[in-house]
Amino acid sequence: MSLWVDKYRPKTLSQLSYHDSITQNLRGLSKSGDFPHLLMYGPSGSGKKTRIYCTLNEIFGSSIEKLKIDVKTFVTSSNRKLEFNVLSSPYHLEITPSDMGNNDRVVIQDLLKDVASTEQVDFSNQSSKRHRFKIVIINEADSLSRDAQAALRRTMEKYSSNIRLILVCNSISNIIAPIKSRTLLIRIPSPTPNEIGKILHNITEREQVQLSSGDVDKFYERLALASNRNLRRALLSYETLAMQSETINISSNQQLINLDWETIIKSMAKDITTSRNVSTIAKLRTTIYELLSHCIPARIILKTLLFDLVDLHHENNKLVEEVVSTGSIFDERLSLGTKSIFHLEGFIARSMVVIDKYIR
Amino acid sequence: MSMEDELDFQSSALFNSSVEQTEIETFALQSFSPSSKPPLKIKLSNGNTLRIPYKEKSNNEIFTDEIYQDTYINMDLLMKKAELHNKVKENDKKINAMKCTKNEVKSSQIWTERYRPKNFVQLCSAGNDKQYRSISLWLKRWSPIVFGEEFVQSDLVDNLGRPHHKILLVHGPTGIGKTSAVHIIAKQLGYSIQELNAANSLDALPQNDKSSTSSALKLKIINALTSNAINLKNKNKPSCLIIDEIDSLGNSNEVVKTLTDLIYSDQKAYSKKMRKEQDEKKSKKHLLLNRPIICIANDIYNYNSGKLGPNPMDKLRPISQQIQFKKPMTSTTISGAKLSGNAVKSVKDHLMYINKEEKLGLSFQDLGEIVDICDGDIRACINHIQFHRKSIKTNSIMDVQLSWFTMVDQLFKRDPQLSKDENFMRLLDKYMNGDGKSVSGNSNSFDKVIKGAFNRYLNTVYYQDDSLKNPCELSDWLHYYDQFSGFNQMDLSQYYPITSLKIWSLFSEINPNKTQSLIPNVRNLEYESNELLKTNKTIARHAVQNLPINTQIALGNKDISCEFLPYISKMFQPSISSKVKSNLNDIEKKKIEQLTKLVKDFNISLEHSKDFETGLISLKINPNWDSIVNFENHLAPVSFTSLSKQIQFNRQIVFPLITAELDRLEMIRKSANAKRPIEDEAEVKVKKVKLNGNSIDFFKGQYQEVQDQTTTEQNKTARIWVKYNEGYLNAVRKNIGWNDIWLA
Amino acid sequence: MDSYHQEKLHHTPWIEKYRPKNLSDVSSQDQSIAILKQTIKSGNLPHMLFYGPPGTGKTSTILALAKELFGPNLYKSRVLELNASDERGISIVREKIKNFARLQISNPTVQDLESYPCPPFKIIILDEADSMTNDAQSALRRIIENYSNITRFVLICNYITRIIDPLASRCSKFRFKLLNSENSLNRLRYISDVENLNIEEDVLMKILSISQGDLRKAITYLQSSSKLSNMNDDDDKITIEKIEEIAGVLPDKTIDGLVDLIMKKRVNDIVGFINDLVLEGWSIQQLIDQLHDNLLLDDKVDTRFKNQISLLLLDCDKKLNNGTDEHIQLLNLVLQISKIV
Repeated sequence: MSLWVDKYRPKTLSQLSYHDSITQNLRGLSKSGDFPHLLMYGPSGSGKKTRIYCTLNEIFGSSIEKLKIDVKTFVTSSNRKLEFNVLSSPYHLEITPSDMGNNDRVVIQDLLKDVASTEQVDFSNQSSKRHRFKIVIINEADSLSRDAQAALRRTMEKYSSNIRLILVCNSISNIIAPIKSRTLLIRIPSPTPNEIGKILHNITEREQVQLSSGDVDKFYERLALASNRNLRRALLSYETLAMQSETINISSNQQLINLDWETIIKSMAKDITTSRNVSTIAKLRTTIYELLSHCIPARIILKTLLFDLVDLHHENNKLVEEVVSTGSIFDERLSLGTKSIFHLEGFIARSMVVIDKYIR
Repeated sequence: MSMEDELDFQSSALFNSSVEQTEIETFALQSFSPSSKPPLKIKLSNGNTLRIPYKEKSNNEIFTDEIYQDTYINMDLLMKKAELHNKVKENDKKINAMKCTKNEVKSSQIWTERYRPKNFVQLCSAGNDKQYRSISLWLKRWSPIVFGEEFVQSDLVDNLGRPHHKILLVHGPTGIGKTSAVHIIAKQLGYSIQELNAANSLDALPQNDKSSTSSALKLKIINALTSNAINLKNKNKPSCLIIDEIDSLGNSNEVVKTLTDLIYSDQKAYSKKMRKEQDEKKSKKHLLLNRPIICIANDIYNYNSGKLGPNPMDKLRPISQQIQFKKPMTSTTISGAKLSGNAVKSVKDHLMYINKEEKLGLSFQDLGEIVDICDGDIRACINHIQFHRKSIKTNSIMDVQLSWFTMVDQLFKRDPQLSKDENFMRLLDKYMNGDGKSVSGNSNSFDKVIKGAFNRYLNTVYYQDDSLKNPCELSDWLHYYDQFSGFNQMDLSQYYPITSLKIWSLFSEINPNKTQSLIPNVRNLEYESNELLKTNKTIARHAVQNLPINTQIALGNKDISCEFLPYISKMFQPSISSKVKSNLNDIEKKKIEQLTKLVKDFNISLEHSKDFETGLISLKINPNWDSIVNFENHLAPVSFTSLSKQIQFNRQIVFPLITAELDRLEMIRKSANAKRPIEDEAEVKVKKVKLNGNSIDFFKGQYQEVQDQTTTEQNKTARIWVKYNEGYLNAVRKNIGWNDIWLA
Repeated sequence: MDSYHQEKLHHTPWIEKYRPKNLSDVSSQDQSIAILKQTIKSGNLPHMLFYGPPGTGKTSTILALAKELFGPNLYKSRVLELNASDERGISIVREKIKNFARLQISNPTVQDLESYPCPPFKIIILDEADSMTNDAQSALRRIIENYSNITRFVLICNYITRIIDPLASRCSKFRFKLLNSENSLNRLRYISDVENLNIEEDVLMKILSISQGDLRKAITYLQSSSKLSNMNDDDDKITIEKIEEIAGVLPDKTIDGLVDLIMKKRVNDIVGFINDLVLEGWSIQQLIDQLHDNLLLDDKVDTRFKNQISLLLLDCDKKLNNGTDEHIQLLNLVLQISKIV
């Protein structure tokens, strides 16, 4: 619990500091004793998981925090062994389907059947019989294959008496309609800069972080925007700042923490703009390989690069339009194909041509 | 065959002299002579006559009598004669064979075996000379205790004259001569080699029972270490244990455990000896290691995802000295800063030697290409040469079947004699019907063609017109290819070549420029980046597994490498003004405390490691996420070298502080513990273990080891302790057995 | 036990609770229903293929029909219902369906015969048949023919184009059209009356417009919103905002704002606005749907322009279906639209 992100993560619904109406709904759900299957969606770092665990805490009490991780093995039809992690407490379990690859349908069906068929015995001694069900949290539900989603819809109905599903995802565009219609959708927007600022302020006081004099609120806002309103990122970068200097200089010309890979992509965008020729492409290829090998997914590289380019040329509307449209094409190629290096390099070449067209 | 009564000893002399070499011949003569009364003259097929001396009638009289009684055709005799004849013939053959054995055996042997280096001089350096030297240095250090040489007290050896690390861990990619090198060096230094590898003995051990397996294994290893070889050849040579392929052994976990046990018992025995305790019983129990152990592994960081549990190599690393072998590559860094052309040259020289021996007539350039194809794997190179030597003899590399790289060459070449259309048709024909079909029909090899072309096209454009039009068009076609190859359906594969034809029409030229590539090291870029990606992924996974569960929950898959680890790594570079704790101000102290907490929570260990090339000692975090977080690129905000220098400098300040803080916390805990009236036996035991682990190391007075051991060991024990504290000690006041904790 | 039943009833989704019990209850599919009623009278049934948009009562119809034909007792032995989530590979077609199809029919009891027609065949319902593989569908061909003397097949699907031709030609097809709003509104009002909801007429209208003729969706929205409002004691009134939140629909104001920016062609503002939208977590697919409605249903917009927009929307939808990044695609779409305005 030593990171600030963990230390100041709310444990109960009453500690939640923003999105009050959602909190109220969640409280209502937990009070009523029963709730439908939930589908939580929103950008990363907006607090989906935190809210889920707060709700569970409200329903089941603090024993929900007794978490353990099991490695389950599953033998596929082709006799291949598949291992995936299951995180569980006495009342719930949590899985990430991307661990399972193409077999997600079978694995999830199997797992849910397993959970559903084992009754919760230890509930009998509790005063209320209302929590007769077990919670299954499915992370990254948007990465579930169509097959698995289709299988889920039936499972949801079949075992609805003793399982409640909570699906967590970033966007519901990839979730099939039948699932959407069977779940209660809860949208968690990113916290506003103001809300992030409040949280940061709270931490500043509790941890006695030394700030130089100046417009503190503006500093918080800058931090929030720099981390794209991602609360987790804001907290991490704030803690890093605090670690790296005794008193944080909050004047606006002071650099915030930049991640190396983002800086690199930013300079890639600059290179693309300034020197539009083949040798730059060649140089950037090594850079792309470097980024890829550092576990930065190709699509994130493309997206970051695209928005950096848009940023660089924001005064040139025509150019922005065309760069974005190029980006959308290559984004599709990336998600259809397998050889990301081809497409990233293609995007670089194309955007050079586009920039060439509008900047003379 | 003819028989004559004449005896001619003299003429037989020639024959005898050459025949005596084989035992069979003499045997044949002996067995024959008693049965034939008259002296024999045998005419050999080569025209010489052989006279066999008459011998005194031997004891098997009955037999000979019978022969003589038979006035008719003596079948037995004929048979014998025939037999003799045959034997002589056979002998002849053997003699002939003897003359040409050398050649025949040679040609039936796999070249990798035939040209396995036999001594140090033959060893192909492949850029690993330093490593060879370190191995022999390490082995030399054993000499005092093994051969009883006089030893010189120095920092490099302990008081018994052994290196500090009793195990040598040699690791590196396949086929660059790790095993050969170790064998040769050990032999050269006068050891007899006891080898354990996946193939021999280890798997034959009883598998059903774990305890018996490991004990049997231990026995085996100890036997190998203590027994001096009693072979005829290696009389009284001390043995040296080599454990080959330790990372891919079926039971590598147990092997490593046995090794750690050995090291542990060695430490005890050693400390006893140093304190001059003469407790007979105990010293028997704790075996003093007096023979070197060398482990060979391919990869000591990754581990097979198919296997459960932690990587056994993690345990092996801290107790062993590591030597990393490197591939002979044209350049070791992506930026092309460190060129190690010598390495490749030495490989080529080695191949050239084989080439001359086998009279293959390959040029240096051909060999260079082979080295490139095989990714610097020497074994693969030799195999390649042997396998394709026939085609090599016909003066072009693998012309029988069009290889992918010749195809790439063709894609960039245009025949000036023909019109563009004719040229195109010819290429089309080649792909659709001719030699190229086998390559283009096979998605795997065709993939290589496309990749090869992708690696080259930029150079061509650069020299042609440096315009961006063609690269753009190519990217569309690559997309087309990528999608088609993704479908994985047979009937679509016939469309693959279209992409390559397009490449030809876009980029082909009459004199393809083969000069310097725009991108250094372009051929290996993808491979290297993939390898690094794999390593980094395992590291990331490892790092995540060590995190507290609550932190894990909140992290998505991509957050780890894109956000979490970069920030954490920056957190571990705080601004601290002094190495000495008392000089720190309050804020800095707080930072250190915070970091210490992180170290504990994240289950991080702080390690030392020594780089072989530079000999620098660097401080590392395990799981080592530096390779994920730090970039080595011209676009990076800080250049790699200065960045790593900065990090090292910072760590040299911070790490001791954290270690000290860890120690302090440990002390507090202990003292708090001692005050507690109720103490369980089990607890005391735990403490004993801890004390042992710490105090011995402490008094050794060797700073480096102290730090290593204490950090790792304290981490382990501390972790158990935290759980214990949280769950029970404060909450329940009753006697708790060790078992209760485990059950909980 | 009673309370348990009560609780169970409380938990059953309203779509099950208010599923039509007999054919006449099915709303606004008069034509199909009339034909079906005719067939019941004759006691014979062809193989059937029901198709139409989701939530138009296909499944309800066939279930009601089966009940009317066989009655509750015989229902279990005569009807096999399979849907997409049940394993439906070729092996299942070969085994489970075949086994059931070849099963001899059981004799109805006397009481059943009195009250129900009880024709001498079984019914196999394949719900969501369009998600069956082509192999499985072709395996079905033979089975349908071989056992047609004792078995009738009913295939239900959304898209008739995904049913292979040989299979479709063996069935008589019934198209289920979108429910008209009047009937659906009546149904919703009926449910809200039974469930004692505090709901205004215009909110019901809003539910209908959001669910676009899909009655199941509408009922689900109604149920979730009532659940949410019940939980918060302070106000149990169902408002338009709540419905929108539950359905994940963007407020009209936001869409209008976006359209306004598009018309003004202010690229930088658009970039910022889209960024905010994405951070708010809105579903982009939904946003595109609403944008589509807003632009294409606007009479003031030029037809040519509509044509171009449709193309852009199509392209964007295709890309999104390929699993691309929502942020980039949405930005592209909006910028492209603003370009042609």
